[in-house]
Amino acid sequence: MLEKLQELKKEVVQKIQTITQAKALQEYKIEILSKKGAFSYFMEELKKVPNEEKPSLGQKINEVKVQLTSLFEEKENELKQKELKEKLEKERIDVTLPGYQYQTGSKHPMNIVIDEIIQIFLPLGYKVEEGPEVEQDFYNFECLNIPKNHPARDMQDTFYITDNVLLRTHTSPVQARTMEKNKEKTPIKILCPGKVYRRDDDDATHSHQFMQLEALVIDKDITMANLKATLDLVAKKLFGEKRQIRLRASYFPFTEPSVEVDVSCTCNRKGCPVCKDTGWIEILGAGMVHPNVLKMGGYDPSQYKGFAIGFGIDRITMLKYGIDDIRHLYNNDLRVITQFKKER
Amino acid sequence: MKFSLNLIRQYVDLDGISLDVFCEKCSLAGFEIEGVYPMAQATNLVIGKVLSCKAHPNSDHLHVCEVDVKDTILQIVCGAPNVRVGIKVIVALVGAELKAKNITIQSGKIRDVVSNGMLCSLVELGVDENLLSEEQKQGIEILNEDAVVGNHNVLAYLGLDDVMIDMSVTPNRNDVLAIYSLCKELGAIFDRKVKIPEIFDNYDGDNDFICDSITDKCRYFSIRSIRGVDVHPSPLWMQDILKKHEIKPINNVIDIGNYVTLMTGQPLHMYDADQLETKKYLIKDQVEEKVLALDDKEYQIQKNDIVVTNGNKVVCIAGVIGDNSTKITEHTKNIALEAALFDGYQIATSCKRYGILTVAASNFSKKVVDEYSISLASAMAANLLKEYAGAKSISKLNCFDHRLAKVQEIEITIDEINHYLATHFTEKEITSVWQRLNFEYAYHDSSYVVKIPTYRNDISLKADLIEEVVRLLGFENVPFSYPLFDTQEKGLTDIQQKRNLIKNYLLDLGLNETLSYTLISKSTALYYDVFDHDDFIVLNHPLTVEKEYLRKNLMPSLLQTIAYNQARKIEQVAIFEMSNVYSQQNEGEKLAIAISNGLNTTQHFNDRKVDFYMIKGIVEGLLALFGIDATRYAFENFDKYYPKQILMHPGKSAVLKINGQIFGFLGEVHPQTLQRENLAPTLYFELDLKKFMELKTNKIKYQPISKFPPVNRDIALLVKADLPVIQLIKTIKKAGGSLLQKVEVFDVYQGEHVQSEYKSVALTMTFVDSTKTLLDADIQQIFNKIYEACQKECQAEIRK
Ligand SMILES: [Zn+2]
Repeated sequence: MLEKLQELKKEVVQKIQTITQAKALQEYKIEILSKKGAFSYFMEELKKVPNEEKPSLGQKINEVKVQLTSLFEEKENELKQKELKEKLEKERIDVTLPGYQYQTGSKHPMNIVIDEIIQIFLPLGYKVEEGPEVEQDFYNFECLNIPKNHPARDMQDTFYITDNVLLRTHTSPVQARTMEKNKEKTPIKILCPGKVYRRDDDDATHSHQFMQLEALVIDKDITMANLKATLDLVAKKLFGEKRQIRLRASYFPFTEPSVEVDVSCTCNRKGCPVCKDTGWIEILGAGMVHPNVLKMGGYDPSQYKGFAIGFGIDRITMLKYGIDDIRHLYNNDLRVITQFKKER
Repeated sequence: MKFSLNLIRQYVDLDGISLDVFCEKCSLAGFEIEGVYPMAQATNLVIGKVLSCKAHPNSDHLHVCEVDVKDTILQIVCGAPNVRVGIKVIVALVGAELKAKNITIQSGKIRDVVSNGMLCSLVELGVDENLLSEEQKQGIEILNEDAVVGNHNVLAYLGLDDVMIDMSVTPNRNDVLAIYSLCKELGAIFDRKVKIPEIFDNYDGDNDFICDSITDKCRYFSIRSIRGVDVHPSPLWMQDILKKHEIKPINNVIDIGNYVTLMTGQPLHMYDADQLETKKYLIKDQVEEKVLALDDKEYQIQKNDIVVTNGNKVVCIAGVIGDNSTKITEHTKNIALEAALFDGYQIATSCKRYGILTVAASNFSKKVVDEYSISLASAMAANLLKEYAGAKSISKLNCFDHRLAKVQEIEITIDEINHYLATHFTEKEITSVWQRLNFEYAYHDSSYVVKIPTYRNDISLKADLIEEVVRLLGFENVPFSYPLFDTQEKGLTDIQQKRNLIKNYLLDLGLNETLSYTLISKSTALYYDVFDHDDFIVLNHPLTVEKEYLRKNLMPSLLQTIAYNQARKIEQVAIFEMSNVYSQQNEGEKLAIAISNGLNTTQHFNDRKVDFYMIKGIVEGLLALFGIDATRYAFENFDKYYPKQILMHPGKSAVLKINGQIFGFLGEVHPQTLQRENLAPTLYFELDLKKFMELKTNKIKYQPISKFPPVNRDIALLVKADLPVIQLIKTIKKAGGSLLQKVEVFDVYQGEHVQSEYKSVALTMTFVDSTKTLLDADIQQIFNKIYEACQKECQAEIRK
């Protein structure tokens, strides 16, 4: 009987090795270990042996049973692991497919530039002032030293609504309004961003609507050197630390002297198409506030001086990012706008 | 303006200044050079003489010529119809480069006949065709007999070694549109000598003409009598100068007038004195009649237009164009020469109506005229008429003179200049500026009194003089120094910060910011005009009908932006814009959001629903961000407020009410509008941002959280299908009292197992008590109360 027991053990050990399915293993386990299984024969046989042999034989049978039980358990575990592995393998996905989208949107490139300029000036104590786009002739022209019949009115052909109401042609009326509003005639440091309008046909370089940002400082003891330092700061922050500025004489009715401001080109003055081989790129206009403008705003020009900087946001945006057609700033083509996602 | 550099060089010494330096310095001094155009561009030319000219054996239009170029005789094949024996011609030698036509001359054979060079037309040398006659354009240039064979300096001989400079002139410096004035300015910029010929009034006869003005728009009018002229072509040098400056030569008399205007800026007009009715000129501005002008066109004169009259006739539309009957002809013998000063603004206004802008009109309206040189211009013309038109006698000037301009004197100190600029300019440097500009000055004790020449009508203040100083001495002399002012940061205003808050929220959701045009067409404006009774602002002279109305809302702009993108195969468009809107009543600001074909979905994973609730969710998020809690706002059916419209889907859109007032609307765009704009289904939201910014946000009131666990109970209620769920929620909340923490809908169902016209609404209610653990009995009590209320107020029944 002991041989039979050993044979069974041997047989089971061999058989278990061949089983690959959990279900087959479970069935085989029942066949061997259940009350009606293979071991029941030995239990019956055990009843037949003499009493004195029972303990040792019983122990042997039990030993084998325990061995086989643990063998089954081992195999069960092995198969479970294997099945889980197979299951997980079946769940394999293509990690190269795109993820669910949580893309943020893009700010409009011109607003990126406006915000950038505001961030340069805010820490210096400037405030952002706003004004109406439908403006009175008085604030748009008269207050800015552009009386009726002035030749500069020709320079900026205007969209009129009535004889005295118009779409503002620049953000400068906000200057005039701010000076007027400041009854105490204390120093002023403001930025005025916004939409402005001129009677231009739209093409690659002209737009009937465009964006300006004006910086205005009025204080005692303001000099042209203050303007120059401020322009230099802005040019370096906007275009890079290595850039330099150059001032050229110009004309705006509301500043005197008036200057066009050029920034040095990245070609290092060697000449390239961007700077039309001059080494310099025109970026904005500026000047010392005209005494007549100060007077109109209620400031005494012998006491107060000021400077003003007029940023053409469209032009700066185009230069900064290399956009070649101004209409790209207004047609809201998402192929253009979404390129600016990282600029907040 | 465009001017000939050679002409300038006659009066200003520009030797040793390269073209690049010339352009750069002009730009720095305020005169930007916009272009440089050589009159002709060709190398390796020589003047030759055609010795023989035979027909080409293999062509019916080519000729084989022998051309003497002094050093040798060249055989050249020529295709020009006007080539013939004996003429002097321009020869481009082998190796010559004709840049305008991109030709390099090579020796070779043309139809088997050797050709060593090319006979040139001026077109081939790159001369502007507008300056050439038909004959010159069709054939080779035939030179005058005086041309020297073998002369290699052909461009100089032809006067084509010149460069035309295109310079932009700011409106304060229109004085330089006169060549003499320009020369003075260039002399100042380059600190070089300027030699303008002095003009003397050499009259030798009497003047029987008299003049008067009865309008204040003519402040000066002068007339001079010139007798016994011969009309014939003007000298070539004069024609050449006029042509380069885009003035067509006509005859010596007219050309002289135009030449003087070009040089001095002063418009002149010449009348055939024998065609005038009387000897008395009268200037008026109250005439209404038609005038046949010397360009054979008829102009309607209205009140306010300035006219020159003689007898009962308008003989000149003042400062614009003369009449036909008194014009200079080839038979003219005696001339009345007018030099006057008319109101530029009136002339500009009149010219706009006439539809012409002559040089005279342009000079008056741009104030090119130097009020104190008018009589000199007249004298200059008279002298030239004597020299080049054989005038027998020149009378003295008779004039009406009510000029206002006075020579200005400005007092300024060295300190004032240096203080304004933060510079350290010395007396010597500043004095040099006045000298370069030809400004007379007196200097005493660090202070100048500067006399401003009358042609510099841009200078009237100290600041103007300071500009002259820094412009000529160079802006590079101004140091860099930061202003010393209070730099305490003021930051953005509340509204500006709120705008940024909104923008960042929407950007984070994946919406892109747009910026669109304010002006829209009338038809678009009216189509989208359903939301208010405000009146549109309309331009009085729009450029196009597409841009005539100022938008009152942003809907057309955003929908058209979507259409623009979808037409370019960008199907998913999720955008927002914050912009001003305009009406007669006020200028407001709006926020608009539009989403077409979803937001952040890909074609591969597209199970995110794109419907009303998407846009509503975004709006609810925005309200929460601004601390506006649900007790303050409500969404109500759109068609209740806007029953007759096709902009929004009547059943799938809502108005947003805050504090009982409408602040905006949201929902799906109406299919008819989608079709009009050619759009895929689109969600839209618009908010009155100006009003929204004024709302107070709720203060945060911290609620301690309960130590006791919350308990959830579900309830499924059967209600009429058209009952808004919000009503059910409100009822439950009211009945639930303080223990009911939260009610959430988790299912709304219609269909099988639910009677038609009814729906089942399943809700989860969360109860919590901050003082004890809630027992089943407590909850059952509240639950019953809630159910009773729902039965009573919403006719709801528990779904079995
Ligand atoms: Zn460059």
